[in-house]
Amino acid sequence: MAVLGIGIDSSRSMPRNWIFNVVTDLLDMAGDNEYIVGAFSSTAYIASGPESNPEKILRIIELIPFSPGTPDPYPLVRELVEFAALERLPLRGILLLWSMPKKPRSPCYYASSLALSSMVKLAVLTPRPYPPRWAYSYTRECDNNIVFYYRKSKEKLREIINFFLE
Amino acid sequence: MNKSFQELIPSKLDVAKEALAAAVSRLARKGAYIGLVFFAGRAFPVLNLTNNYNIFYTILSRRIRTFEASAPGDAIIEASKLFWGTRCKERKIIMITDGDYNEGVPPEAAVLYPINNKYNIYLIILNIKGHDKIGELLNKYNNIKIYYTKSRNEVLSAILSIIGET
Repeated sequence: MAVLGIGIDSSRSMPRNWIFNVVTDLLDMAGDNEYIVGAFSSTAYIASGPESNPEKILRIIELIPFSPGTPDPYPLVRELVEFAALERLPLRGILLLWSMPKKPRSPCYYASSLALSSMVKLAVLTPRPYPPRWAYSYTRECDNNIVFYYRKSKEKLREIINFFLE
Repeated sequence: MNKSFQELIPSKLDVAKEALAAAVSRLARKGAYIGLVFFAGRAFPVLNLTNNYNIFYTILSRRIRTFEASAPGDAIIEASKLFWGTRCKERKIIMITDGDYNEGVPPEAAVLYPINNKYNIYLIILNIKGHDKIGELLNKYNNIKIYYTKSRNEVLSAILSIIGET
């Protein structure tokens, strides 16, 4: 059993039913893991975990309210990494469900560097049909610690799970 | 002496400090661990959980600078984080506030993690003007108890009741 993080962009630009569908599919495919659920906008917080009961996880996600500000994943990645370290949880990966705004609040470089130094993999899944301009250059430059996927599909989720657990 | 807050000199902050000092002197007999978070438009954890009560009194006796704005959600998050990596069996968060909320993480989001991890949250609202946004947002949760106080004595009796000293 692995411990995985789910980071939810709680800004209004993220469709809630999309988030709910992604997490439902993720739990169907990899329900035998424990999950820490967190949310981020301009600030970040951990909402629950580690939790393995899919119903509880989905209920928590329903309770996450919208938050103002441009969503920035770095504070949440930091919270998750610190939480896992203090609670001695073997956090393997963090799935960020992120709207990927045109102008990110901080470069994704910071979040992925922190994850890299903490031996945690990052995957970004976004409802956007195509990447914002900054992500093209980032994807070319980044290391093998982070993957980006656009639009949800079960195949992409399977790849993300394999990426975390390989 | 049961003066209302309007009549009080010193301020609400001094009333809160006085009540905390009284509570901690009783908690010291039980060997309880205590942490401290100040908040205004941001939250500032200033004391990790400790049973060194002298440090607590020293911090409490210092002059505290006041700021505009109120971020009670951030304060709840920071208070919850004080327990990370500890094995405390009973986890209580006591927040003394004027009930306002106009900055930071929404309070109903900030309480998700502590509620799901069986923390008890107590709000002592120094209800001077009758506006208490935080009470309105959080009164639906079973393990959040809200005390509305209008005088110094009511604050003291609320905090002593929370720590089981009445």
